[in-house]
Amino acid sequence: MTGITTTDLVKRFDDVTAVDGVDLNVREGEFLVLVGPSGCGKSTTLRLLAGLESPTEGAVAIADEDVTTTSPGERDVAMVFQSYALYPHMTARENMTFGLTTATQFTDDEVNDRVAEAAEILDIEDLLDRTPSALSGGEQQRVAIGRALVRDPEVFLMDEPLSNLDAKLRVQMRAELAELHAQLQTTTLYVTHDQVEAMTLGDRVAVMNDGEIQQVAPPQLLYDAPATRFVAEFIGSPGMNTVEGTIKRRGDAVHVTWEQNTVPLPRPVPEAVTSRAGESVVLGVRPEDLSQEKRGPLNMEVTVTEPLGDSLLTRGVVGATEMEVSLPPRSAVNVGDVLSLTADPQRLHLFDVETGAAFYHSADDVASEATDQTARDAPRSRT
Amino acid sequence: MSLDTEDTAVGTREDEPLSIISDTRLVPAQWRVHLGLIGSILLMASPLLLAFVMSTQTVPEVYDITNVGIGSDGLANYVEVFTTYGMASYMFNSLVMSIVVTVAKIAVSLLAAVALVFYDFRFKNAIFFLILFTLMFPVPVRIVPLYEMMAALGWTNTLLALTGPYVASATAVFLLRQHFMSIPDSLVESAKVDGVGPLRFLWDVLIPMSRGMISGLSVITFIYAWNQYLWPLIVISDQNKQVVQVGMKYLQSVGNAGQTDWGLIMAGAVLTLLPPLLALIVFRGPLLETFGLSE
Repeated sequence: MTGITTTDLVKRFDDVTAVDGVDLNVREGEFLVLVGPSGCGKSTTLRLLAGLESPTEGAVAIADEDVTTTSPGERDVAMVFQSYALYPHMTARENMTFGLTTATQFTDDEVNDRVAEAAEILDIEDLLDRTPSALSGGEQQRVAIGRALVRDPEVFLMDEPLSNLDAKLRVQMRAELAELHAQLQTTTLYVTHDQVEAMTLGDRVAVMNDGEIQQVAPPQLLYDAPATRFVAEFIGSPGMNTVEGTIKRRGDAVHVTWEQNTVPLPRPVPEAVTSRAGESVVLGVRPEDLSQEKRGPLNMEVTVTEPLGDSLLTRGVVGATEMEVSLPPRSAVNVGDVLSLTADPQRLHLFDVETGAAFYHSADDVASEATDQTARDAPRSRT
Repeated sequence: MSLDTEDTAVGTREDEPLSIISDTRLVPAQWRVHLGLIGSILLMASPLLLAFVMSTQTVPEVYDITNVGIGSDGLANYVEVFTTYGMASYMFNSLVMSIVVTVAKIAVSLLAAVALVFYDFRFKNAIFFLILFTLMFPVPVRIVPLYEMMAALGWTNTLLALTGPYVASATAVFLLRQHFMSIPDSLVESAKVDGVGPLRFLWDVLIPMSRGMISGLSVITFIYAWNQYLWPLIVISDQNKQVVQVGMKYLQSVGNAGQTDWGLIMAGAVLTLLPPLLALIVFRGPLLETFGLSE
């Protein structure tokens, strides 16, 4: 089994804790994306796995072998860097084979075969004799990926490999990376700050903040049932609206209220919520789960409208809280209007005020799926 | 309004090439400046020109102050310094010394710079500043203790003594260090992940990427070593092993009736100049790069 496992990984730089007790399990053949805002420790985590940094505490295992103190060269990993890290004085071919030719495990013929194969997969056969300065950004990135391919490593580590490309090329390379992984099935850990990249590429996505893993889940589940307030706000474009309110109970009915606004929770309301009646909570609702309705329970004063083509993103204030709502395109909405809104009762989320942990997702089926996911931790076999 | 401003902008841009064309006329517009430049170049080159003129003159011609034309001796002085006075062997000794110093200095400085940039160890900065500190103690300042050391080692009169004190160089370490620091970390890390060892990284990545810097440093070092006078004079007593700068001094004692044969000395001086001049001409590109002056 060629997965990656980290156990209670901690990295401190002087008095800054970059990685704070990370337990991560990348299964064999899986494409796991580690996503988080700048400075959340995701790159440091990747570098700890590559062996470029040594952990302050904790252990790293690759393919069930403890490599915590093993040097980077002996971990059988290949890394793709954001800046491509191609040697400027070598041709694309030399860049791909550098480091391979000394390792006795390959003969020259084997090396040539591997380069030819990788070049074919990446469609860079014509570029092999050019130096990096004669290649475009996208071509350089292909060569950098090719360099990782020819090594046929246990694990690919990718550190924001698409960040230096322009938007269009990034979308194209993203699709190619997904295709490549489907073809090769090599265990991959991919670091990015771009949540769209994370959602589109990952079999599972790990969201990281302040050196801690917030949630590891398949993309859709991450979106539908965020485990913490941070994940809810970070995932999605734009992220989830969150507002602090109070749980009010009137007989069977349970509401979350703040100022003059009230959002009813669908019945039956679970014990976890009713037991908190009277307490402060954070209510979360995604912009697309809010819609216009006459005499709806929420009143939003519009401050900004952003036509996105397929929808009209409208920002405004509900009470004193800024919220965003995704309206149908060409809706007649102007700045200063007061919209009457309602929230989809099946798509509400409640988070603890102190810890930020989610304790309620109104879509029951989603919630039960989340429990299933946590329980199901069996390794996927290679196809 | 806005159109007008645009027009003016276009107008000035079109004017520029015209003024450039007028600069390249046969008689330059700023001829006074050029005259001044030519004058100052002549002034700076005058010792060289005089040396060359004197090297072709006979002894009486040299002592005739007003005679500044090419002398009647032709290249006879050059032939003589080579055949009679062993200039060839001095030049060979100098060449060996300069090459050994250059190669050894670059090798040692490369390793030192690699250690200072790519390795983490305790007191790294302190060590670097200690290296820089040695700039304050050039060889002439250390001559007495150095000589004692060479005598104790039994190295006097050998190539080891001639080259040894020049091998470590703070300047070269400093320049290479600054250059290595400009190499992106990701290249180093990529090599680490690929299991490329430090020496292979030095040889296959750092040296090819620093080719300009290394050639520039080599030229400076070569010329510096070639021009050494005081230390060889002290540490080498065997005339056969002597270098060219000291060899020139031996020429001074040659001459008839107490008259120094300046023609001979100047021929030696011109010959001595040629190897560094050649090095400068061949490697002027990387040399400018080393000092960050190339365009």
